Amino acid sequence: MALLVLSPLLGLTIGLVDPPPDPLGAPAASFGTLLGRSHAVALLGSSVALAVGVAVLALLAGAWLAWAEQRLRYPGRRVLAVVSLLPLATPSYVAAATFAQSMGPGGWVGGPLGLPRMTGLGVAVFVLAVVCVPYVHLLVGAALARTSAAEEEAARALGAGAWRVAWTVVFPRVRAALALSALLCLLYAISDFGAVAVLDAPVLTWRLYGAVKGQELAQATLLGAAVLGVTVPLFALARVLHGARQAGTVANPRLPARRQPGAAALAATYATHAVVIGAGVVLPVVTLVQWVGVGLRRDLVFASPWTVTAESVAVAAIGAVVTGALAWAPAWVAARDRRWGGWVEQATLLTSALPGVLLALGLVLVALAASRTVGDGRAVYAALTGSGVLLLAGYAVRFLAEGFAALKTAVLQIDRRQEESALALGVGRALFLRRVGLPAMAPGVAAASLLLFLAVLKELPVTLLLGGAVGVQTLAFRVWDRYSEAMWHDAGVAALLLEVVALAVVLATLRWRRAV
Amino acid sequence: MLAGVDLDLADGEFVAVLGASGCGKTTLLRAVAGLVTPTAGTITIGGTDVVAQGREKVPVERRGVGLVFQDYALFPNLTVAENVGFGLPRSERNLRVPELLAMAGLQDLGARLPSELSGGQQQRVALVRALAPRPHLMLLDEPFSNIDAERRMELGTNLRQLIREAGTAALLVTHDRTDALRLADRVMVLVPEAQGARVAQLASPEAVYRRPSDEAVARLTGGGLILDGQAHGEHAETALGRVSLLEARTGSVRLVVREEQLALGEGSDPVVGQAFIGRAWRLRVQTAAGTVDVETSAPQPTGAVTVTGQVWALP
Repeated sequence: MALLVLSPLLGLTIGLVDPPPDPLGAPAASFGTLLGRSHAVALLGSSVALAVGVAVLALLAGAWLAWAEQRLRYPGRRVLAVVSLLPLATPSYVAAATFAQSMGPGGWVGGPLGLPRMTGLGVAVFVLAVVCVPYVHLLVGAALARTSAAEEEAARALGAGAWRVAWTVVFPRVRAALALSALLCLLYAISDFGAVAVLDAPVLTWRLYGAVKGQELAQATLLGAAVLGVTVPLFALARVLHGARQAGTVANPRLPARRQPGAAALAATYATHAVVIGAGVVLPVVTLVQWVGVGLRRDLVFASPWTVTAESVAVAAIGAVVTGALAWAPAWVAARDRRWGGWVEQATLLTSALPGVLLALGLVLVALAASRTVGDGRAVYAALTGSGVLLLAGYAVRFLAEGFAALKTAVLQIDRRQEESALALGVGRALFLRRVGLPAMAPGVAAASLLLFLAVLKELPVTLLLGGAVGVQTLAFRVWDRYSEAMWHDAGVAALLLEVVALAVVLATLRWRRAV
Repeated sequence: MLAGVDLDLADGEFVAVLGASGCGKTTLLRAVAGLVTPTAGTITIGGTDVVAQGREKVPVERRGVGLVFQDYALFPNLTVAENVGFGLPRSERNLRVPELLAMAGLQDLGARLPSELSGGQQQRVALVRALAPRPHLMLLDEPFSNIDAERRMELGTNLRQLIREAGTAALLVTHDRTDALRLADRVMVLVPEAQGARVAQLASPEAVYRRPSDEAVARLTGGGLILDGQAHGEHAETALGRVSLLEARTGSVRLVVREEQLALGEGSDPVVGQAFIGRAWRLRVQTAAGTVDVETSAPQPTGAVTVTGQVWALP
């Protein structure tokens, strides 16, 4: 387990210390040449700019939506709030691809308006911000919902105006949520592969992918180290913030009465909803349907979506089972053991912070290093990649944290008091778990499996880099592949299938979260 | 929910609103505070109409009311001193905050966070925080519900004293009759009805206890039993014998007999249950008037329940 989690880091370290030989036999370049050729410094700059831009935009929009949902009263509030969370379901590459095509010169929006080509860093900032808004919205909304109405009412009774209440009473309660969501946005944007690849934004992950794909492993290792250098400190900061205890709540949580917003606040709220829903839900869906529609009208030949759907479901199911099985032990320990729980949690979550491209590179480097130490290296490497072991390892490492968090929630549903009463009644622990524990955990385990299934289904960079040798095609791969070939009708079918599954899963888990 | 409330508080007067949970007493308090607007009626604070004919005229932050919540609602991120100074203009804080802290016996705790205080200390912080801006009216929502029974007495006396020193009128909402009776100048008893609640009686603590306006008020304000009888002027005949009345009546009456007016003498009524409650034994006796609980110094197998003192006949 631990070995698997740490293997990408291990691979990178090996790669830095003992660079793998160039497959084409070129002599190893010096560090300085490599640094210059890779443009690592410039790429680092644009990656950071991307992340900061995304975080600022997503924070403004997400925090505003959370505030409006919890504190204001306006027509359509409930429906708009839920629909504004749906961009969660859209993979960043689908959001980016539909945005770029539809808003570009040939698109149904950009064409009539005469807009220029939609690629580059600025567009990537906007698209990723839209995808990130729901995370901020959820986190800040939860913090606002935990803030007691009594505190706000007490402040008002003491004569404080709206701004003073917001600044001295509400802000301190959401500060941690704001900081945490800012860091999550930064990490998401730095790690993103899909959107920056589709939009050809000059950032680290996209160039790293190119380097791995082009077998320039020395350069890839260098870029990987740069990615690692940005993500690890951000991750550490996020963990510190997440673990930081708030000043203890003294009052019971109760939501204050919603206020009638003024005209400006109302306009800002509807405008934010419109941008998030428009760019994150309406535009992707309409564009995908339009792609398919154009294909049908022009009688284009559609690639059969059935084989790829079946393979996707199979890969996602196997990936979910493997990842879930690996995440089970740490989740159990973290939920039930005070002494080791914290450490297990930190180690597991670290992997979630690393970009998929980097994980894939790390696993490739480990596999290469391993095959170099045995007799017939080439055969071993081919066996590792071709059998799908490396691909499954990639999924497992990538989504371990996601499975871990969901499974831990499930394990926490087992009431310790109930367990102790069962033991006191002379019932063995096994019987208790079977009769009471498992039924309590079942919904959580189901939700975790569903989330992992969806995560693997949508996954792109690991699938692209490690799945090629296996020969499987997933829906995500199909979208990427056909989009880059400008076969939009095929990309549209695959993406729509993906969206339907993803929407179903997101809606199911949102409902589940509300029910708990 | 709640209708027909007509209450005037004099300067410095302390009124308790007593009612069972869910009868709308907290709603009444929140309406006075300005946290909800009543659909009809007028509320006047310090000579100003803050609600007139069901329209809000003055919002909560300009009403000049002090609000103490059930769970105190201290700002968890501010220190005790910052909490107390929250409602004061900056220029007054340095002077008034130490004074207020000393008043509440919290002078050494100014730098602490609320979570580092005991329940009683938190309550005192909430109280002086609300008193700091010199409100016209203090509104107290079940301020003792999180305090254990032993500390309630002392904290109640303390709270009464602080409010009296400040010279502020106060409205206390509670479901605990002991708190209402011992703290208030007047008690307003709310009795639940099919649709919400009604004001059943508004009078001094002694009046609502000794001379309740109806059976529901009698049950809310104290223990004991309701006894049927035939009144003949100064006394009445009941299943427990002859009892003397507070006021002369004739005809059939319902009498309010309080626990302390019951005694157990020699007799043949069977004792069907007994419990030692510390200061005395409580015996359950099967009498002609049904089962009656009565306190004695020692258990006995049989007896006869008698009524001592003068009892109140319900109007």
